[in-house]
Amino acid sequence: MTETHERNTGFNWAVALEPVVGGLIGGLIGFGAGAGLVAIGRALAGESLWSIELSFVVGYTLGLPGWLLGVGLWERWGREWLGLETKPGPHGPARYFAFSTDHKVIGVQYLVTFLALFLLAGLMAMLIRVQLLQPDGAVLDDGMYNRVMSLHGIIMVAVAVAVVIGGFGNYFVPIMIGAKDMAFPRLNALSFWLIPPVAVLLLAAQAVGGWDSGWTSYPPLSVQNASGQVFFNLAIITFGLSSILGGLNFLVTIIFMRAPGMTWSRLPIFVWSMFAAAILALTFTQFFAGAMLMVTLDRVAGSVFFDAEAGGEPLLYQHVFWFYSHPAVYIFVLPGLGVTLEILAHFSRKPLFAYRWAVGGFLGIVSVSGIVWAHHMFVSGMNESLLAPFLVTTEIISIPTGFVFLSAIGTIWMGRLWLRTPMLFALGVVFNFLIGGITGIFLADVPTDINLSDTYFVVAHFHYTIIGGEIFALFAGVYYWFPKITGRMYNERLGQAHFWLMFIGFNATFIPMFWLGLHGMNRRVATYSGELQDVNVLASVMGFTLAFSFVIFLVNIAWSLLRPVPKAADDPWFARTLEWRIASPPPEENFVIPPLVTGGPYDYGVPNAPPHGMFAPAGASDEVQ
Amino acid sequence: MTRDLIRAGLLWLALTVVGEYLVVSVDLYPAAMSDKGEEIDHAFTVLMAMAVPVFSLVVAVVVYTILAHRVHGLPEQDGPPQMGRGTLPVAWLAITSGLTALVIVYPGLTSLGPVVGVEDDADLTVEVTGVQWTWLVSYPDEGVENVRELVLPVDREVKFEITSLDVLHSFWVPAFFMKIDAVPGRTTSFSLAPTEEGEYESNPMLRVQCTELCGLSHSRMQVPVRVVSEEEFASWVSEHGEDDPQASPDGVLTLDIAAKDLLFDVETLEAPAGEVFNIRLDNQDEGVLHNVSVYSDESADEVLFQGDIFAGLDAVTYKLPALDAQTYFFRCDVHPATMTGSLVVE
Repeated sequence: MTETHERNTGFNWAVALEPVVGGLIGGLIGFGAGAGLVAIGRALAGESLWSIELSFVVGYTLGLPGWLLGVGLWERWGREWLGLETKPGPHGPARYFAFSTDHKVIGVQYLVTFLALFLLAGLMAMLIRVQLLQPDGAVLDDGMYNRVMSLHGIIMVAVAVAVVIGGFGNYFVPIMIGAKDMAFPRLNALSFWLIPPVAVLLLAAQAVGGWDSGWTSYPPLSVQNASGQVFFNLAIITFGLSSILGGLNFLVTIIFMRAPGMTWSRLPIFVWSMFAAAILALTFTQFFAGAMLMVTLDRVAGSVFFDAEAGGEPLLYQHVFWFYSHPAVYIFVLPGLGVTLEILAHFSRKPLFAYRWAVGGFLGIVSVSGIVWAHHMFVSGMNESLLAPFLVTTEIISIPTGFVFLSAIGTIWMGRLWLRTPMLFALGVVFNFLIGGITGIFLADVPTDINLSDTYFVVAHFHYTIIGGEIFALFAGVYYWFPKITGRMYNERLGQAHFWLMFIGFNATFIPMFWLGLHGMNRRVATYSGELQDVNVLASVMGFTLAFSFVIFLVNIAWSLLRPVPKAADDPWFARTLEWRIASPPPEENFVIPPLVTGGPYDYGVPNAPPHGMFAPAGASDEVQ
Repeated sequence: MTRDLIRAGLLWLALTVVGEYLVVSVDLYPAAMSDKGEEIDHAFTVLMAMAVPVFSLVVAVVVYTILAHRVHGLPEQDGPPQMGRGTLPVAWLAITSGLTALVIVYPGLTSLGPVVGVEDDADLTVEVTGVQWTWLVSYPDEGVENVRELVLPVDREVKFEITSLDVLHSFWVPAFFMKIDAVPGRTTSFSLAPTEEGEYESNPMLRVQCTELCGLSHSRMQVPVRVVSEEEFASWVSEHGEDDPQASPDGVLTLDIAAKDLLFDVETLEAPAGEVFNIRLDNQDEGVLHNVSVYSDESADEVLFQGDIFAGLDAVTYKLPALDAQTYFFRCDVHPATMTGSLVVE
């Protein structure tokens, strides 16, 4: 997503790749130092110098800061620690490959990186569906299937965590609150540059046998399997660090960087959803990292957290893992719901219905999300006295979720629905997430969950919540903000074709999976019972249709970026929020004149409503009402 | 607005009626074959019936507004400025809270007790052990040990005691609708009564299936289930009980094979055609289960001999039947991916 006039001046790859090469060199030096330390220690103990897992863990631990310093942390930040002048980064398209502190560059970096990872993990999903065309699994052997399935799972989880928050959050939260950047721009760059090692680790893990324990990686299996598991563990810890720093940055930005007049009740709903998700990311992510640290120590340091024979407890892991991983689904979904409500209001030409209740819904979900984790463990063999309390807390989360639906359907009701591509995707979220939410009731209810747990019913359910609630919202946002980010309009017909193919393909892929779960197909299987083949073939063929819809998307993006017609309007959607008051694409400082917020973001049709924002002359009062 | 409300309300009503009709008339679930399963099936149906009006409300609002109020071309006017303040959200809160409370109590908490309760004085106790990648089933009171099928008498209360020797597994019989994890170092349990006779060959839902990812052959970690009459069960027990005919060696040829470090020490065994012979398995892996079974070929579809599974350190002599001249396939059923070989009969 570069700008044409800059591309025409020529793009110098040597300059662009300099930071990454610097990072690689720094990483290698750090890795060498770490592995060297292990070698010295082991030599003193009279053992062989290289132990794959231990050497790698210590090497990576030092290699990661080496990578960060080399990629730009040193020049843009570290030099300051020694009293030296920091050096500016590159300009033009090369800044997308550098340690840039501009939140818009970082937003695009996140968006492009995670869309690419999304497509990659989507290809793995296609491999899974090809395998499941036949009950006896003729394409991949069992071990390869388990590794592909595990890799698909974790990459998609990473995409779900970061694509909307990192992409749209970074790009639009500062603009929507009238700020010129995030509160901590360098920390923001650091968060992004922690991501490439995560992707490299997950892919490189395949060279040392991969890991076959899924993205959940339950021990004892994850203590006993191939060394790829250690790469996975390190990737999660690194990714968690990125996520925590990002959460902190968003909270501080939203609390302290709002423009004059941007009161909490005038905050666009997407910003509220980011605020809610950031609380979760900051508060819960360390549990996943902690669980991974314990597995790693069991493998390389001889601890026995999960070894029953030595006094450990396999169930311990599941509790700690789900402390994070249940709130994580709200980290995925809340920003998606925020994008959805945002678009529903603008494209229904109505105020966001029951705005305060929607905010209350987000914060209510945040409050309850931390006390529902054990509904993932109803059949784990944990103490039976835990079943009823977690049934109750889990069902209660449907009340704040209901507020979000109230806001959505209240906004749609009687609206002047402008069915452009972003709106179609937003309406798609309402439908899909409804199915995701309702099927969740069956899994929160202990008796029905006992049978459905770990079956394709669960697979269908969480794809409905994550794809339905977040990925549809992601594409709603991509089409909605594409003209703002790129200054170009996408092709509406191709956009609508993408929506319909994706919507039909998605539903026709995952509805049959509910049926499969009810009829005895458990999840994470390379082979299955022959009588289920017809329905599996249906799911696979529709899955290929779903995949094809992304080809249309890519064609649309390429067509829109490459065709000669240059400009999109600054405000193609006639929307009220601040990002549409500035140029497309926005200038580097966002607002040439600082904005003054004077009204609500969604007051469509409200008689005598003041504009959401206006541009006060410099030096005007910055008093917050 | 009133006209819109009436029309959308009628759409909601129509969708709800159709939905409820489908819930009642289409049986989404295959029939449960245990008492607990029937309870779960009932809870599922109740939840479906409750879900229909909620689902159709949202669909009705969205579909009606699209049909009645979508704009063609550019939006030239705004919609009505309904802010959603006042009593409507409060009413919504009251209704959704009421529905949630209902779901929590019924079918939630009311069916929880009947489904998860364990019957301590069950008619039959079955011990199930998960091991990568098979299930070993024992009947301690009947003297049947480590068989690889689950045979149950119909209409008798069975208590399962489940554990694992290596990683997490999960014990699921799809036809019974019940599952619980097999956890190393713990014994988990549930009880149920099968309500119908049947067998895996005619109903694939009658199988013990591992449902917790456990490594390489997770999807294949299953053994057949058979629910039989009381008499059939008694005769099955007497066949498989303590007095095992396999165990006694006699003067015939004995082939030696050892299992060590999860591998066999030989890849080929040779035996004479048309004569009975013995295989002596020396299990040198302490605490690890092994056996030797003979199949007609590598697909392992047709089993010719299945040796008892036992833990090392120990040795057992299996008595094999006379075989025709052919090359057969043998393996350890506990480690079918790695412990295999050829039995050449000439």
